[in-house]
Amino acid sequence: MHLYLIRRLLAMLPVLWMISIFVFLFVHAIPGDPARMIAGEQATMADVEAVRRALKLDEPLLIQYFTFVKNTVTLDLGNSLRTGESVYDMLARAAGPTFLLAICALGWSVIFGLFVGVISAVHSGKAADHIGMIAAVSGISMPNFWLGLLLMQFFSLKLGWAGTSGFNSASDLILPSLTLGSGVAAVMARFTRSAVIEVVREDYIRTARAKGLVERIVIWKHALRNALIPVVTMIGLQFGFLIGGSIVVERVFRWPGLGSVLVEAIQFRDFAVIQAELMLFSLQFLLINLLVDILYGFINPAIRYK
Amino acid sequence: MSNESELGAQDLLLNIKDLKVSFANGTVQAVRGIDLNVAPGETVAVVGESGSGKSVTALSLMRLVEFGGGSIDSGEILFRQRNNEICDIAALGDSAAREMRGNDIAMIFQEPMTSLNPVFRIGDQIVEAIVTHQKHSVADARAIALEMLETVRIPDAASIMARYPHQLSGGMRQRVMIALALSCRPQLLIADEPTTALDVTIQAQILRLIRELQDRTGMAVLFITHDMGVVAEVADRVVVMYHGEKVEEGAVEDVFSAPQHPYTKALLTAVPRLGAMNGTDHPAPFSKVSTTETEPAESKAIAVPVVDYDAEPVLSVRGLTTRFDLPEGLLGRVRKRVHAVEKLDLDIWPSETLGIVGESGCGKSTTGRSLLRLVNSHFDEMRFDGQVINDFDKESLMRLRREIQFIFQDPYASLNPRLTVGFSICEPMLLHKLETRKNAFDRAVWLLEQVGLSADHARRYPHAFSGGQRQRVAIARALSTNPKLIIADEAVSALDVSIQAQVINLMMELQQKFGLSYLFISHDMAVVERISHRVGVMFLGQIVERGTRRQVFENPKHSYTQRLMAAAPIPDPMQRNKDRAQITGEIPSPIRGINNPPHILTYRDLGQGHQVALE
Repeated sequence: MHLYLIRRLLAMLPVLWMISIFVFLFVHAIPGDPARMIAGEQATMADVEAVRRALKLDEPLLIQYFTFVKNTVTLDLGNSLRTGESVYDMLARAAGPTFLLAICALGWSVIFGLFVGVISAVHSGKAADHIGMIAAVSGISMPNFWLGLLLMQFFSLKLGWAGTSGFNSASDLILPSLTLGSGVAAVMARFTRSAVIEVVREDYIRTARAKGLVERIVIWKHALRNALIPVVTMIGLQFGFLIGGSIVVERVFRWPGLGSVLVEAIQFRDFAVIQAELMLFSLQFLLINLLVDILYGFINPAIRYK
Repeated sequence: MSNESELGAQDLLLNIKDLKVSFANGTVQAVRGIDLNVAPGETVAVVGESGSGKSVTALSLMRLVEFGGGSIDSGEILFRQRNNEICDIAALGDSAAREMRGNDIAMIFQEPMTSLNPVFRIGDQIVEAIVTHQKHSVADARAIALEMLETVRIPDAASIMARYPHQLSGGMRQRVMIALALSCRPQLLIADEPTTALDVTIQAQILRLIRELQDRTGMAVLFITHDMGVVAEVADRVVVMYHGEKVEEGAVEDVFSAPQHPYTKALLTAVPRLGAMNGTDHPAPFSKVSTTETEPAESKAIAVPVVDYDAEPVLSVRGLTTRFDLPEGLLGRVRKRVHAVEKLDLDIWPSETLGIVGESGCGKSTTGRSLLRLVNSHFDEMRFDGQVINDFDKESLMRLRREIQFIFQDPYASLNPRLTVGFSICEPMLLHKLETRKNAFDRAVWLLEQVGLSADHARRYPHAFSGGQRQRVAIARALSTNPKLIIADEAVSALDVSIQAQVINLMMELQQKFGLSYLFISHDMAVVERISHRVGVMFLGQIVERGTRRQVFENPKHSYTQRLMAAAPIPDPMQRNKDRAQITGEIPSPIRGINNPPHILTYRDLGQGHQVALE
């Protein structure tokens, strides 16, 4: 297991290196000049050049890339081009709210999705299945910003039960996480449904029934545990997206998270922030993937790693 | 109650009356009104081919048939419970049926590899069954589970309790299934093809185990099987099913010695019997068999080719070796290898069938694949059709892949379901640029006729064909490039016996017509004996005994050959209790440490090509 972990972590290095190249090229390919943005509309060419030199944006791309890699490796992420604030501090401040929101959204949507998925699978082809799947398709189809605005309109403005924006108290988590999780819940329900339908055809489910087990245990213990493998893969993927910060939901609810930071950074061509955030996003994805693979082993001992 | 008096008078455990079961809302009649009795302690075998309704009958007894989309339409299943009360299983409510399942009646299944839940420990799976039905604490249930595992002779049972299914072999898993089934001491055990997926030496052990447990506990066994050899080994009484109906019933000796129904007669004719070929030098086709309308019946007598051993062999290989590395650790260092095929020598003459027989993991399938380099293999020397093959350069590999063709075991998986069978047959010709598109299709039609199908079959898709017909298509495809040698890897193992006999006859007919050679790879001793001119017995990647069919089967000299012969079930109930060598043990693994290469066998020549490895 230790060996496996070390091997997997080492294998991330070349992947991260490739990603760093893409991220760097991508950021520098964005049209627009950060020096001009910072210097302002009225600045003269000389001023802009001065800003450019000060920010070391006049150096050759290769040198800039090496600086970027060096900074990333040493976790000295530099300062925001716009505010001069340490990028590390900016991300650290925004990561907390995003992570909290992601966990809440994932938590309710996974529990809800699993439940609806299993019920739909057990009653596949019957009314409960149809209702569950219509709800799931609606959840997938409904745009986040629209659902967010609807919820806000109803619960915040009309009933006054919740705030409309920002993150000031725990109750502010409810509406954004409901909005963010609705799509995930729908995907979970559909995935769980098809996985369970597949598993209940297996021979060992017949064995479980032949033992005389009640159907509840056959489904929720014997079938669900085996159906979890594809579902956990999906949870990992969704979680990866959620902790990257949902740009749309964070904008709608003015959530002080990574998504909001990224949008602002892109608007101002704040290279340092964009690069750092994209690298963080990639690293999170790789780590979650590893976590998912390790979880497989706990769910199914036949794929436990040596 | 009238039920009670009836069962009581006859002293029966189970009495099925006019049972009808259908699927898909009554549109498919799987069981069409059968009657069946089982007395306490009795073993009743239900035999029949796929689709005969035998498994559906078994699942109905457990009321499991509903979970597969079936429904019991009418009839009674009277069963005497432990407390001597009689219930009609067909009329039980869901929860009463569940309490009966696994308690009064238990079941074991065909596929030991997939019948245990992969994510739970062996011990927990047995304990679960015990605490479901009996008021035991978990600790007591664990003690009972352990005792059960010891009863089915699992070595080191205490440590097996904590293992997961994937850590056990197929034979061991079937023992676990039996322990699980017996854990609540049922009065009736339903065994649905319990040994079909197992190797012959393991099968012998499992059959013996079931018999011994039956003697000890007095339970009755309903044995569902397609294998007449197994029936002759285990049954007191036989019920023959055909198309959902019971066509014959009787004591096992009577059914085997004087079958009444034409279907039973045909079935018994089609069963390959080990030793049936004693005293004959050449392979022989089965006598004419026709039990279904879907398969064409043979009309002409089949001539068996005589091999000219003075001619040069069509294929001659020396030192064929295939090993698979098993990388491990951080750097993927190779410390262990699978020695699948080890320094193997093979000669096959024109129009000859060389049978390779052995158990799973012996390397027989890998041998076939190695010849066409479908796996990474090497050899010291190879001649094909008079030409020396120096190395697997691309050109000679293409030539080999044209002149040597394959037929695989699973006729359902070896044809692409999205392509018409005509296209599947054309593809090798087009690939090797042997024919134009138009001519290839004409030839495909002609080939279909050669294998007993018709021209209009060419435009159909595989799902429109039965298993036997698909195997005929696979043979037509193999013939499309006009090969000299066909490697038949378990080519008839998945077929019902009557279909199997027809396909074997077809293969012999084509051999005569086209001068084909076969490398016939099989685990089935009786089939190999029937079809082969010469035979090699394979064990751990090497041949332990080779010779003409008569030499190997009538005078087996190597202990492993003798063991295989002793383990093969004989379809004759009169020979059931003949003195047999007690067969024990698992099949050894071909995985070896990198510094521990296998011993290369040396042979003793017994004359006329009969070679036996020194032990």
